[in-house]
Order: sequence, then structure tokens, then C-alpha cells
Amino acid sequence: MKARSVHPDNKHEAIILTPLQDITTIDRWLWALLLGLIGLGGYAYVRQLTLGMGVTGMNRPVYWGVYITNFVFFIGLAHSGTFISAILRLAGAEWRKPLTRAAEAITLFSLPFGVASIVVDMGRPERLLNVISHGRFQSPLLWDFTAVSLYLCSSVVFFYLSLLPDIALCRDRLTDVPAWQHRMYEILALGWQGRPEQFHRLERVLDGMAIFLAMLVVTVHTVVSWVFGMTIQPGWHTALIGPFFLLGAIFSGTAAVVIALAILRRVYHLEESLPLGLFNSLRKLLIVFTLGWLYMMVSEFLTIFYGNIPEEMEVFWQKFTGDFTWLFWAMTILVFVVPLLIFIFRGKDSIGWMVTASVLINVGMWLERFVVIVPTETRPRLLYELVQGTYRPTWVEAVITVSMFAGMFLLYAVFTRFFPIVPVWETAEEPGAEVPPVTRRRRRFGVRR
Amino acid sequence: MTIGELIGAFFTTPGPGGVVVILVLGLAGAIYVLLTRWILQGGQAEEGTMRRLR
Repeated sequence: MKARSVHPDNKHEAIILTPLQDITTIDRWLWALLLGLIGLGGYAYVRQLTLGMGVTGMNRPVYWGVYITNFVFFIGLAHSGTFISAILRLAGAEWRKPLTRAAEAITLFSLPFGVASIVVDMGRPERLLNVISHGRFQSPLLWDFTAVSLYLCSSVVFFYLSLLPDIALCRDRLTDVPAWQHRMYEILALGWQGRPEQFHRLERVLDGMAIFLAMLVVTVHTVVSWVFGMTIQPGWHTALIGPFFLLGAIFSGTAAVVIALAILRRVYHLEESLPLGLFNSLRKLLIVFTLGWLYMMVSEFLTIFYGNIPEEMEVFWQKFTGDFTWLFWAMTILVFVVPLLIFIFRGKDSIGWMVTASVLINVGMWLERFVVIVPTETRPRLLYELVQGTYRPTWVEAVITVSMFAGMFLLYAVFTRFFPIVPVWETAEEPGAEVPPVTRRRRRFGVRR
Repeated sequence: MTIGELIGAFFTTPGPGGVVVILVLGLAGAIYVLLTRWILQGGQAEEGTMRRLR
């Protein structure tokens, strides 16, 4: 296949393609380290499979712990790509263009670990197929399985289609890379030739898929929340749980995009392709999400407090002053107080402060998932007077969690070494878009006297 | 069996849920393959005509 393509002009093309031409020693060491962590996770998982779920901290009545926290967190991270790419695309926000691929890659590489968290939590992974052979419609788990699978499939296609012209660019420009790498570009480019009609159709399909994905992004996280909300457990059985999960997902996802962009900008010297203005735009979005998250928190807890239903209050006080008080208040400070102060007083024009706030938000959002899930299980409805559960994660859960994050980082790092992380064709200069020279403008519009 | 019982059975019997999952994912996959082909074929007809004219 020797197809050559017409490529739009982009003055940053050479800088964007530079990381693809050489894998450094630091890369190899980083990949080895991450692979080592994944190996440790594999060992812990084999141990769990062999000895049973007793090696985890889960017990009666706490059946869901760190693994399900990871599941909700990873699915949440996966909303970054769709939010940035699809929703901002529909809104016509042009500033999103340089960061779309970095955001979509987070979606693509975090979703599989969300799914894997469920498999790890099952203890008997072969029973996953029961969803197909014995699936019942009334089960929210089936809705979850369908929605997440469809989201994964659609995200892969959306990502791949928007990558297609850039794969063709790699095929045509990167002729001095190893033969297998060039062959990979040839196969993945599917004979793309960059005809105007191809670009026109690509834009139409991406616009259409953006609408579909915007709908899916809402559906997926709402359905994830319904796995909890459709039970009648205190703290979970509320209509607010869907929007609460959705907002949290987009919030942590957008913060993750800030972290990824800052690292890419620094490591690959993409200062011109990823200008400071992008971070300022994301800062404004994050301020809105931080306040939205506070609104959700207040709505949730104020309603519970005024209802004063005994079983609800049992969980409520567990969070505010009970066993989970440290986690709850740490989460509030990390997700809301400190980031908001940083965004308002320090974040503008400062990538370092933006990254600090974003890391805090993601740590806080993981804690938030934990605090939503576990306290309810330690004080379940009807049983809380008889059984007061406790939960302390073991090293097996900790190691498997670390290995999952390592896996996500590894996939991301490897991807950035083989494919352009800034979309070259989407950020290309539009022909005729430049401002005409001053003399020509004067001739056309006249001179102000 | 009344219609109500039939609909009820569809929701509660083990099995049909899995069929729906396969149908949804299969249909999405087929649509995406067709869309990709449609994009790649863009401008092919005009190019063929131009070549013939030359």
C-alpha cells in the first residue's frame, strides 16, 4: 500500500512529529518501571484468584471497596475526552482543538481499567459471561454492561477517525522510522489520501458522533450511578446520584486533562502548540465545576439532614463525625477548598499551580467515590442496628490499584511515542484565514483620519 | 399467556438481556464500519472521472 496523501499546512508539524522519531533511554526505563508495577499487580491478582476474596479487606456487609471505587473513578476519568472533544465541538469552542487528542487518549486508556476493576472485583471472572447468557432486563448491572461497552466501542471509533489523517501524515513524513513502525502507519491509515471530500465526510461523521457521544456520556455515568441508586440503601437511593456522578466525572476528567497537557508540554517541548491560553480556558471550566460540585454536595446533604430518616442519618453522621470523618473532610478540602483558592488567586497564567490543583482534585475525587460507596455498606438499611461493618483495604487491593494506574500511564506514554498527541490536521492553518497586509486593508476599508 | 405476562417474562427471564447487549454492540459496530468506508470513499468517484478525462 503506497498511498500518499495531501496534508493541510501546519507550522508546528515538525515539533509535533519529533517525539515519534526517537524512543529515548528515559522512555525505556519509565516503561520498564510501569511494566514492573503491572507485574506486581498481576502477582497480587493471581494470589487473590488462588486464595479467594478473603485476601481483600471486603467482608460482610462490605461487599464493595477499593475495586468498585476504582471502577467509578476510571469511568469518570474517561469522560474527559468526550467532554472536551464532543461537547466542546458541538459548542463550537475552537480553543479545544490542540488538546482534543490528549483528552480522548485519557478516555481510551482509562475505560479498559474501569472494566477491568469490575472483573477483578468479581473474584470469579469467568462469571462475567453470565451477563450474556443469563442477562435479565431488570438488572442495572446489565444496563451498565451495555452502556459502558457501547461507550468504549464508540470512543475507540471517534478517536481512530479523528486520528486517521494524522496516521497518514506519519506514513508519508516519517520514512526513517523502523520498518515495522512504518508498516503499522500504512495499515492503520487505511489508504487515506486527504481528498477534500474525505475531509468533508470526516467532519460530518465526527459532528454526528459528537452528538451521539454527548448523549452517551450522560447515559453512561448515570447508569453507573444507578448500580448504587437502584438499591434502597441509605446515601445511594436518591435521584440526585446520577447528576452528582456525572458532574464529578467531568470534573475529575477535565482536571486529568490539565495534568496530561502540562506533562506533554514540558516533556515534548510543545509550548507553541499547547499555549498558556488553553490552561486559562480550562481554569475557567474547572472553577464552574468546583462550584457545581459544591452545589451538588449541599443539595444532597441538606435534603438528607432535613428528612432526618434514621437509617440515612446513620450514614450521614458516619461521614461528618464518625469513622469516615477524616476521609470526608480531606475530600472536601482537596476537591473544593484548596483548588478553588488556587484557581482564583494563583491559577491564572501559572501551569504549576493549575497542575497542583488538578492533582488535588483527582486525589479528592477518588476519596469522594470511596466515601460515597463504603460508609453506606458499613451501615446498611435495616441491618445497621445489628451489624456495624468495617473495611480496611489490604495490600493486595493497594497493589492491584497501583498496577491499574501504572497500566493507564504506560498505554498513554507508549501512545505518545508512536502517534501525534496534538492533532496536526485539526490545528492546521486555514487557507486565507490570515489577516491581509495593512496596505490592502487600508485600500479596502479606508484610513481613519 | 397474556401480552402483559409476555412482556413481563421478557424482563425477568434469564437470557433476553444478553441478546439485546449483543444486538446493540453488533449494530453499533456495523454502523461504524460502514461510516468509515463511506469516509474513505469520499472523492473517489470524481477522481476516477478526472482520470478518464485525462
